[in-house]
Amino acid sequence: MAAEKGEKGAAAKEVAGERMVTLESSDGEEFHMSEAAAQLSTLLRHVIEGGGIDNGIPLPKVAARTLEKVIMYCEKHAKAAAKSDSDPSAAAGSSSDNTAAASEDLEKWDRKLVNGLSQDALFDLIVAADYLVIDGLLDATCRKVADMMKGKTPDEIRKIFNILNDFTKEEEEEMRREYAWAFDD
Amino acid sequence: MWHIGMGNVLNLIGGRTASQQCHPEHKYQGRIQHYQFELWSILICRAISEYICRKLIYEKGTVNDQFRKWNILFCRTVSEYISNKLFYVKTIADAQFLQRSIQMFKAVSHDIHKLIYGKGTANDQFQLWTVLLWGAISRYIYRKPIYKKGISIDQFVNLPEDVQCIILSKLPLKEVVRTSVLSSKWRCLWTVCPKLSFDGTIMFGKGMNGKQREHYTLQFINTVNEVLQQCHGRVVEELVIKFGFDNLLVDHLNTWVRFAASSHTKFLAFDLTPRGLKAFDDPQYIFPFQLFNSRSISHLQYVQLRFVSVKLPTQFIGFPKLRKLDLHKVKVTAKDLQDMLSNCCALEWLSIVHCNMDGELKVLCPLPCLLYLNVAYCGLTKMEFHAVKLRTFVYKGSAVPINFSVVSELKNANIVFAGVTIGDAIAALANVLTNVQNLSFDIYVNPPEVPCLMENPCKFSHLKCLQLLLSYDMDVDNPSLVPFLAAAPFIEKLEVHFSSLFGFYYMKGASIRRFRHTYNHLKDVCITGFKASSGQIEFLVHIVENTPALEVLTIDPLDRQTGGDPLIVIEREAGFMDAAYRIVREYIEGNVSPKCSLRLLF
Repeated sequence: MAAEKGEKGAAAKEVAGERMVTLESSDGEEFHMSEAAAQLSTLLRHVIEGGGIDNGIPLPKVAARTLEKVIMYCEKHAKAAAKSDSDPSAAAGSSSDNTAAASEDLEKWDRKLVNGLSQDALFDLIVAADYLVIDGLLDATCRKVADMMKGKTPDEIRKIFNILNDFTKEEEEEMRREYAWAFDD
Repeated sequence: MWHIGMGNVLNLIGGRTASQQCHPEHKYQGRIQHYQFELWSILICRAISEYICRKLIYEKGTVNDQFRKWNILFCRTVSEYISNKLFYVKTIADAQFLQRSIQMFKAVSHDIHKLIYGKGTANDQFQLWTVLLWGAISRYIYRKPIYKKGISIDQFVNLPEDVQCIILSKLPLKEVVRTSVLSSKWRCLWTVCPKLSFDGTIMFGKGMNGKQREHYTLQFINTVNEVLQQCHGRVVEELVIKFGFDNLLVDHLNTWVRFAASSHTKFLAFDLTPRGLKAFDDPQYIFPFQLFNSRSISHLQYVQLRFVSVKLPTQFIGFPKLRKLDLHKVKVTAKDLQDMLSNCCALEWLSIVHCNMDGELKVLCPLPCLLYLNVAYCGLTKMEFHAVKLRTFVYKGSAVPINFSVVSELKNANIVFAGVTIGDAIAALANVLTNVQNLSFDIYVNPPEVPCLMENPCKFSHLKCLQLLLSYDMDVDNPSLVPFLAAAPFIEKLEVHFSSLFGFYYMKGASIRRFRHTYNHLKDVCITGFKASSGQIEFLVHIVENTPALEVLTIDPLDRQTGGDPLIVIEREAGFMDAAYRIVREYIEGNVSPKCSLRLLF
């Protein structure tokens, strides 16, 4: 099953010694990302392994602005993984502090990335991460949405997500009574 | 924009230039406003132009009036559209709206086609029709909630179900259930969340006692039953029940286990640890493994049981897909545990804590995927496992013979032995520690019966990082300790934390023995609990005189285990610390190379 490197399709071109993959967003813009980074997406990994696409991989469901963020995430995490792999003392107790600090930094970076997004952009990124099957990104973005909801009253959540309350007052009262234990603080 | 609209319309009188100018791709994509507007105008203008063309062929005169009316209406809607800032509307709302408008305009152009065949009254009907159409459009624009600035509609409900699950699973159950009142679409959305966690302390607070307990217990039971009923028939990936055991719970617990079995639960946790002294009783609830058939048990991937009793049914087939098993205060016999593990070929993580088995635990069947093993306080007299891929081993208890068949992958070990001599400790672990790179060894050291230099038991040739926590009654017995260190020739980092219940003593004039062994790779040494007792000084001298590669030496008098004060406070001479410091300096001087960094934390 070991495919020859040359057979992996013209989409995997060499750039400065690193294999690159070309992606095309829904609005026709072309993006490049390293193959190592593309491996973070299960979907892209299967496409590449299956022989790749000659003129780049079209992603009709992902807009340019969103794809940009996806690539940022994948490149950052691919680099971090490569760094920790090459660190020979990664298993030894003495470096356990280093690896813990490194993963904490990565988490901080993830949080910074999702915090800087508008709500629209956040949801676009969620949909893209789900489509491309990038577990880490999906988890980080979903966590952000969950944090937006945490500790908020139903009215506040309605405002955030612009949900139209189509219950009558009586209906809502009844539902609150039904799950009284959930509403009692 | 208004002008563009007008401009386009005027253009069309001359020819259908506008629609041809547009790139076909741009029509049905993107969220940038002017593309959408272009789409609008394209369709409208196409409709208008068709209308005009055909009208001009068959009728004249009234064209201009009608066209003007069209124009007025069109431009009015456009200006309303503009003024209500539809430019900022994005995503699905627009797509739906566009879809409707496309459909409307298709209908209009269709109608225009009909005009070719109908004359006379057609125009009036058409006029009426268009007036109504534009009226409807402008009303549609006006009423649609997209007027509000910012986000248009509820984006959450349009996410794929599995993504909704992920988001809701990150919220506590109470908040998830609360989402049911947000809107009719949200009413049952929360049941898609397949992770149910019922924690009594979170739901009712920690102050459950006496009469209130029964009340809370019943409330807990009702709550769980209600929620499970809502989730009936769905796949519930995770079911966590955490509530102090009470007899009232027994029947319901069985119901909930049955629910987990039928819902293909992957992660099942039952924590029935009671509060207070009752935690020392024997667990009463017998976990009903018989409620699982061979299919439902094969869904289980992570099982956590606390304060339950386990009695395996006679035909127990094991957990074929189980990856993580966490047993804490579980009443189980060694034989039942061995049987439980008999068919766990996927098991990666195993923890058995406070499960008193009072005997030998010999798990003879192989556990080929096991990476982590934690056995603590189980009253074992002997332990045997066959886990060739084991990477981390944690053990707390008596120093008993521990046998792993092959330990080539075992890199990390954390061992806590109650009272034992260092020699016996090593003997118990000789089989285990051969490949370990990182070892944390916590021993309450008994002095050997016959104090003499211990024979070198075996080589720990992979040991690089060693952390020793040694508790002594009296003083450090170097004849045992030093040979242990000497058995690790490649050691690079050493941490020794001395502790003594009675406090170490310095005895003036005590002789310092020398033990010859060179540690060529030892770079970093940290000694805490250093009170300059004779044994400790002897140990320090041994280290300092035999480590040519030493780069960092840290000496701290603080006893980390007792936090600084020994159990029995003994009067110390004034300036005890200063004396200790001087002693240390005296012995280090001349023995430590200048490039070694010294940290004396006195």
